[in-house]
Amino acid sequence: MKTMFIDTQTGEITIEETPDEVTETQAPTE
Amino acid sequence: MGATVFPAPSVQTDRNWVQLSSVTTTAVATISFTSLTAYKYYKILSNKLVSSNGTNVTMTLNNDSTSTYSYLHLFNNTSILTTGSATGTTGIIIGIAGQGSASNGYSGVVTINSDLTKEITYTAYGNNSRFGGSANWFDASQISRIDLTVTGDTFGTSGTIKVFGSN
Repeated sequence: MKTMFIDTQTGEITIEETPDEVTETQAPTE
Repeated sequence: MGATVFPAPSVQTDRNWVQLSSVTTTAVATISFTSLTAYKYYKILSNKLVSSNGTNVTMTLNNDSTSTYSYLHLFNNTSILTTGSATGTTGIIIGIAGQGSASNGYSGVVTINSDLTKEITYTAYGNNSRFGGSANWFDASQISRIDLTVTGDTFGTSGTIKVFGSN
C-alpha cells in the first residue's frame, strides 16, 4: 500500500510503501 | 473554557483562500496532507478524484488535541452534509457520513459519482456538534493532517487535488 505525504508548509512530497499484510496459512495436518 | 465559535462560511465566496499545495494523484492508497497547523479553515478542491474501482474515498481529519475537533463536515459547494448521505446538487459529489465521536479525528465516506466531469469541493472544519446538530464552527487550527484514503483500492484516475487554508 502506498501513501503519499504532502507537507503543506515545505512542499515536500514523499511516498511510503508498506507491505500488504500477509496471512500465514497453516499446513494441513496428516 | 469555551472555544471560540465561528460562523459557517460561504464556502466559495467570503474568504480569501490560500493555496497550500497542489498534487496530482498517482496509484497511491492514501494521500496525506500534513503540517496543517496555521489556518482556521481548510478546503480541499479536486477534480476527477476517483478510486480505480469506482467506489469510496474516505476522508479523515486528524488533530493533535484530544477533543473538540472530532468532526469533519464536507460541503458540496452549497450544502452542508452532516449525517447519513445525500446526493450532491451538482450530481458530482455524493454524500458524507457523520459518525462516531473519535477523540483524534473523524472519518466520513465520500462516494464518488462515476460520471465525474466537474470539479468538486470538499471543505473540512473543526466542529464539535453531534449528529444532526446545528453547525457550530470552531477554530480548526489544531488540525494537523487530512487524509484521503480510498476504500479497497487505490486512486486510479489522475486528478489534481489542491488544499487551501483560510483564517
